[in-house]
Amino acid sequence: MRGSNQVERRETMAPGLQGLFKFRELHAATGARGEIVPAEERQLLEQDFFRTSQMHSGYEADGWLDVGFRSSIVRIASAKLGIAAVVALATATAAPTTKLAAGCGISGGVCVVAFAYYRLITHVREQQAPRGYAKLALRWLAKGAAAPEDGASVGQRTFAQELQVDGLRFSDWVTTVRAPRPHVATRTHGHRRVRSLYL
Amino acid sequence: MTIELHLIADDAGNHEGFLGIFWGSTLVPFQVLLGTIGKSYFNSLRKATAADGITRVEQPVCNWVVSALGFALSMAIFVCVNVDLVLRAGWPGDLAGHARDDALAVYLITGVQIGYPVLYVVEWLALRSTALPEDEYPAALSSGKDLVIAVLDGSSKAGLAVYAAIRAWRA
Repeated sequence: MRGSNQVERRETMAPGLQGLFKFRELHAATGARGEIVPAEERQLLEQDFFRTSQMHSGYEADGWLDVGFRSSIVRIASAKLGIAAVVALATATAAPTTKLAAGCGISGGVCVVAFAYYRLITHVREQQAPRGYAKLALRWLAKGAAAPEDGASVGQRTFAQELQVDGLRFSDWVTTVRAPRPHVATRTHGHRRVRSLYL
Repeated sequence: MTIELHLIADDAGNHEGFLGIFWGSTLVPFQVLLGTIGKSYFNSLRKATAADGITRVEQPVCNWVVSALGFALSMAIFVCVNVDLVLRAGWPGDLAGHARDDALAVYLITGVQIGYPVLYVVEWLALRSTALPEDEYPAALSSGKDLVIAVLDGSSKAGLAVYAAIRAWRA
């Protein structure tokens, strides 16, 4: 009954808006053969980090989407960001001036955040996403659509991954919001001095 | 990143800018928010499939207008923030020693960041030209985007962090 109501709602919606909101309806997980996954099985998949719902050879058929290759790209980038973060933060502890220390700290912080996001992106590309990314790690079909024999298409699965990955990438930039001016309190010969980190 | 670039620019030419460190760094998240309206909320303005499941129709004009306005504002912020940075740093050829290196670093990193909006436009053009339905994403584009963004992030974020460390070592 609920499904028929949704179909009616889609039909009464303006043609231009139907496609716009279509992705919101992509929440019917399907198994390896395209059947709808029961709630209890879906819960089991979520607990198992979705290994059983990985995209298999069909996903890699066009040569562009080799799971190992794609994961390697983001893994290398995350390693580079992680190393840069360690170098910058370690240098910040021994920088000769507070301005240089603040610069190293800020740059290191940006890399730490980027590293964390890249680790999540790597998991998404490896199709072993953490629990919070359960839904999109499964196969997807538009609600009300007939399930094809092999579940959702490669393009649909890629679309679901791109939603996750771009969301992570864009939220990364939010960390560039300028924090309230930080101050460092030091004591010299018993006198307390407060210095701004931005000189 | 913008804060650190401002600190480097101050050590380079230390010329007068028109935005300053506060507005420069505060506007950047809004640049991303506004610039991605078309992608995040209107599915990159891809054609929608009509109720018959076959016909492809353009999205409403208001979606195009909102996306275009958001992108234009985003580009305005991007240009202002980066022009402010390079003006503050000064032309590397006019400087010497560490100041020249700092100015060069600001130019290089702001230059690399141009790659992000360029990639965004290329992605939009590719998605508009593909024959795939609006709930599918081209595999080649997805892989290529991963590769390009990995290079851009590695050059700008990691590159800036390493340069910040080098600045501290050489002092």
